[in-house]
Amino acid sequence: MAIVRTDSKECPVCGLPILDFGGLRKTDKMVITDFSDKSDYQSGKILQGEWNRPLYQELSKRGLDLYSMRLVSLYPHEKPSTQTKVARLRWKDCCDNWMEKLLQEAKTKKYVLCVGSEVTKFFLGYGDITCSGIPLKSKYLSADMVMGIQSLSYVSTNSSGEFCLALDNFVKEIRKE
Amino acid sequence: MKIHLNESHLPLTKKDIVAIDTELYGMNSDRLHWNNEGKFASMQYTFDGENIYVVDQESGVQGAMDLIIDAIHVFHNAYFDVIHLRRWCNYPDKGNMYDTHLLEKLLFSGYYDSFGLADLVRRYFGDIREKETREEFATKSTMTKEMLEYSALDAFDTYRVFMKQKELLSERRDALKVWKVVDQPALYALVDLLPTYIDIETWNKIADENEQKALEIKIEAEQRWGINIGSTMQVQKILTARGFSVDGSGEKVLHRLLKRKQKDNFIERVLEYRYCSKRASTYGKSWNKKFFDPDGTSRPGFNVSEAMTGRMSSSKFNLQNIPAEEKYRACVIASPDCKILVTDYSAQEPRITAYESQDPLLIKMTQITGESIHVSVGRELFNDPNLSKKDKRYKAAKGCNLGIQYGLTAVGLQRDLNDKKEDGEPDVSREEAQELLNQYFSKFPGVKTWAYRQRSFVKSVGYVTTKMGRRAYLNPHNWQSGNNALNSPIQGGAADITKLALSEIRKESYNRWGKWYCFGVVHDEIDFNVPNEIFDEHKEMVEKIMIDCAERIYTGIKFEVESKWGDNWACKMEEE
Repeated sequence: MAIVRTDSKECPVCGLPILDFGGLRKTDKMVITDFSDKSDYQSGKILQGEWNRPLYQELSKRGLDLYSMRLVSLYPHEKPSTQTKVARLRWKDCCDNWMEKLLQEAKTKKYVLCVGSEVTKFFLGYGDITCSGIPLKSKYLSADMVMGIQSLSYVSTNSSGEFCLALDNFVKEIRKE
Repeated sequence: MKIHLNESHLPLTKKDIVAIDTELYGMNSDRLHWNNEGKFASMQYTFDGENIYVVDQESGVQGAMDLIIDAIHVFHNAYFDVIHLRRWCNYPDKGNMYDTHLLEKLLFSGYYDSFGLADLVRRYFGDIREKETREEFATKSTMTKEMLEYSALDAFDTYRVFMKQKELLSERRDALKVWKVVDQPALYALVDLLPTYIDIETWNKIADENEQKALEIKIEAEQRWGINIGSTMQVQKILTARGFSVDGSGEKVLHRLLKRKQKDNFIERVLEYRYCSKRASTYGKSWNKKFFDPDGTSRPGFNVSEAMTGRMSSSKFNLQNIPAEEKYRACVIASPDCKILVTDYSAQEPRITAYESQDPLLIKMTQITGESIHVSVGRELFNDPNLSKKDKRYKAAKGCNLGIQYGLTAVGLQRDLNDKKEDGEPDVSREEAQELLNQYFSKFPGVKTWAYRQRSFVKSVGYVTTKMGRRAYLNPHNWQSGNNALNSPIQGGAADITKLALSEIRKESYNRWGKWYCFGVVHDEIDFNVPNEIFDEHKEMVEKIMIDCAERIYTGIKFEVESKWGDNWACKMEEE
């Protein structure tokens, strides 16, 4: 079990402690991630731990503040056990619940950055490396532009070029207007 | 994009640029580089990025090649295309040939780490390419419309990617130079390698023995200890019951336990079982069928520049991964009336470190002939002119010499020395390791300054280069980037030397004997299968060229090459 702030709430479906969605609510830009890192649990919010430094730093270099965007997650808590059938069904309900919340938030967003392969595959139908940095549309989101980008763990342990290129393109698309 | 099927056109001139791609039917994905696999499907090319000429008859390849031979050729993964083109037409070692895959690595190694054509098209043009159609070539024997379009698209993409790279290369002369002098000639040398000869019968015997032994131990464990010896949980339970306090049952843990206790029958059996079952599954008969032909030949695949540093690599199968045991290596044999020759640079990395750091004492150490550089460094480190290879301090000197380029710390040195110590030797403490490092840096202060300079340089510009100009970008978000700033120019420099030597040996070999006798490259080692009647002359030629190439790049440093030879590849194990 990860370290969780004592004031964190619990998931209404599975009861696991959850992280708050982060960033600004009233913005047209959104970042969607999948599972959070331990450092997020320490901060209590999505995308606010040490792990996310590359994203914060690289966006800053391009003149965009990560925390001025809405920061949400497909799974704002640890992955629960899926060993039994009951657990798997509950996990599905859990995913549906968070997806609904996420889609609700996404309604007002024009620019969405999908971080990591799982999120990218779900919203764009491609793995992150197949579509990284390309402005696309998603059948699930009304946003003008949805872009996939490699996971933060990849950037911390491998190369950063794809990540930077995708952020260049993301910021360029936003500034087109 | 307009497709011209089996149509002719005016011959191209040497100023034209033509992107070429080939497709084969029935290719086994493990043997893509085998020139006896698959059947010709098509050759497609474009010289204007709009009109794609497709040849779908093997008999038409030579005619088409005659029309485009003078032009500048561009491939994406030329290693594959050149190997197969040589089955269907005369395809020379063209100097004006480029490979977009390798050029992209020269331009962006370390910055990006995927260099497939689809990645390049996405990055340069924002287009998504899915490769599903390619798989159809493996199962079909006639071209569908989709397959035709797919193959044409590859040539089209290669052309436009090259046009983008050309713009970048006009400002990156360093990358262009490395391509022309090092990577392109090395590519031709790899395309042209001899098959590897394998003693399949012995290989199968070893596989059978391992399988049988694993089975015997499994049965024995069930009877003696009542466990499935393949289960790590059950092994750990027995270890706990036998009084061992351990967190796991991995190889390292078990070896450490054995070292501590000297002898324990259970642990020995577990290790033996794991060894045999792993060898039986990894290098068993199914592996053998996949990679060896019944006539006893095989063709390990090679990549001109696989790692971020530019080192060559081997895959499918990986010659570099054959277990370092005499019995396996002895299965790689010389062909009749030939000998295996293994030539290897001695301590290539400390020598490059000496050049890069320009430390006067370390440079001096490289110039002492007839003695290992680790011995010479050890003598300096411990102020003992009598220190020899047998001395346990030799390991410490060698550990420092090789570890410095990886950003060695006292923690790392301590672990390394304790892992390598003989039974009964006392443990090396952290303080002793630190003291040793301090001593190294006080003797070789230039190395310390160089390490500092490299780390600072990479922080300011984001990349490091080898002496030849091969660039490696380092990721500022990766904590290893500082160490990679030391390691990349050394590893990359070693790769430059080996590749240059490889191509020059090939050239000289063709000049003298009209043939190239190399069958593989393992890091800084080049392996040959040489006819007995030219063996001595060949060996002398190889050693001379290897040393010349290294000393030409790293001027002022003395390099040494060690040769071993015999009836099989186990000859390299002597004194290892």
